[in-house]
Amino acid sequence: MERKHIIKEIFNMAKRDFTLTFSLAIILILIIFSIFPQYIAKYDFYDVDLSLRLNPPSLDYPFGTDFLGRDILSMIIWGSRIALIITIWPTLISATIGVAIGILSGYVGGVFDDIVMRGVDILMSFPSLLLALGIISVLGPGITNAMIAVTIGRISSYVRLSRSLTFSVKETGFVEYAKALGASRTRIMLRYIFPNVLTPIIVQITFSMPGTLLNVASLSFLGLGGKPPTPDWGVLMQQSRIYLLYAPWAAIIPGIAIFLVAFSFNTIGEALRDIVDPRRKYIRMV
Amino acid sequence: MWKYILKRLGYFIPTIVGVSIITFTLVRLIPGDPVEIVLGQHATAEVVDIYRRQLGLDRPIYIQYIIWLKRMIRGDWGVSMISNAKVTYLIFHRFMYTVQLAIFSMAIVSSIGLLFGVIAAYKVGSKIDKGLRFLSIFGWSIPSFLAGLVFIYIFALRLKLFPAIGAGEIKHLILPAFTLSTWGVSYIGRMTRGSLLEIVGQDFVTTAQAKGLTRKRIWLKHILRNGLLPVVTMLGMQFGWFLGGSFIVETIFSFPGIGFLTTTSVLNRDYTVVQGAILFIAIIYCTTNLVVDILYAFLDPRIRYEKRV
Repeated sequence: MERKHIIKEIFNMAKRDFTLTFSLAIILILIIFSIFPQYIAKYDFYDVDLSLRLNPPSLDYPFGTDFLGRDILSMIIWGSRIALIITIWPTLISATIGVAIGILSGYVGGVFDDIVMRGVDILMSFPSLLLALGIISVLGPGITNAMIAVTIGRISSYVRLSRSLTFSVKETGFVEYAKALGASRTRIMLRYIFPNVLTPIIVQITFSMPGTLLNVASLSFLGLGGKPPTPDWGVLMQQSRIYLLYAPWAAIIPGIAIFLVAFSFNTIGEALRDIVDPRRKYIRMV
Repeated sequence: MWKYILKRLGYFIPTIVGVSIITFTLVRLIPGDPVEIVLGQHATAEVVDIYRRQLGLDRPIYIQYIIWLKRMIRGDWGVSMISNAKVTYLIFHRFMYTVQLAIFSMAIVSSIGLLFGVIAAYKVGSKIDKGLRFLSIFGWSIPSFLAGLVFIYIFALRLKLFPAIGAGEIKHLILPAFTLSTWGVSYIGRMTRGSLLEIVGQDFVTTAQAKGLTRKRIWLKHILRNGLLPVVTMLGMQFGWFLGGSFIVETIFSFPGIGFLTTTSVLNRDYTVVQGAILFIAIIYCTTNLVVDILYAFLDPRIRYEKRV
């Protein structure tokens, strides 16, 4: 299937599938929130008012307030940019590095391929969050370091996928022709192999997003990622956790926000997969 | 068969060596001089020098690795920088709790997950199938820290049915195990459904239909027997995940397992414990995968009879 038809096809599917429409809407809202939080959020995220602490949901504060009297809804809106950043950057960077290594390894083959695959096997023998914890103990806590840690853990799945795709593309006629015409290795990889492995990789990227978000948010929740007073959703949950009995909304609403975004990326990923190639199995990491 | 097992073992050992190299590298990369951390900033240069030589830190890096590896193989994993307890003791003690939680969660995942998967595949395309598909994406996307907090709020704080923290009795396992299983049930459910439907499309099922067997019989005799085989691998891998300790769930429930030990040690910068925990969890994880692969070889006649065919 050609790539420009994919978007059209997604919207066609959305007409029939309510869950997909809902998911597309959630992602759209997330993007709008993250571009213009200042026009949408009613309050600033450092608007501390202790007289309002742990207020239940009301008209003024639709999702209630947290232990510093900050409006939860406004915090969610301010935090959506962070949510988008921590989802997109680790995914894109790990995909870029992984695909580059994967194509090179699949095309060059030989000893290089063996070494790469051994490395991937070793990296994959760590549960993803464990590797992230190890890397954070080296780099120290912080949102950037949490993103780096998650990025490193996610490279290997892209290496595997793009390598196996390269193997199948390598044997097709047009690569042979290009070689016969004297195209250089770099040119073959960039102009002939890369465009032909891209579609499944885009699906894998979509599938990988919820896992990335959950991993970085988990690290923030553990106190190893973002630091207060940033309105990172994971940080909000971590801070409000101890008030669970008195103000469940303060901890649970940011969690629901994370869930909705993860859920939407998953639904869109499923739809993309159904359109592009229903048979291939993608690696989903959580 | 034996060839397959040997090959798989030959795969296992380099992986473990690689895992140990990564763990060693990570610990060496931690900023700060280990000698200074142990002796404090006011130690004289001479003392520092002696200590450094004692630890072998003046030797080239690969010799340091070999010294370190020998020590780890001997079982000398050092002592915790915070509590001074032996790291091996800490890990073993905490691991026992994680094993309890893992077994309990596994029971939930394998029963409910398999049931959902089989029902969804048997009723493929129906309302039930669609509902289960929705539920599985739902369970897949729910962060364990959200599920954990919601369970604590409802079942521990409001209804007061189960304790939110602690360990040692069955009642302590219930909430963490269900939190841990939300993801596993969705995963196993989906995989079971997919694996069964793959079998449905195969020729021998058409043959069975042509023979005039009833649908129930085809499912029991042909589809389930073949389709559940790959699920065994997935269940095994899931068990490996659980045995590695779940960092989030154990932390939320203050459950004293290996995952909680790891997160607290990272937060406290207790590097000897972090090193031990990373190495231990990775080894457990690789070993479970090895056992699962070998088990699968025994279960799958295509591998079992490989030599004779």
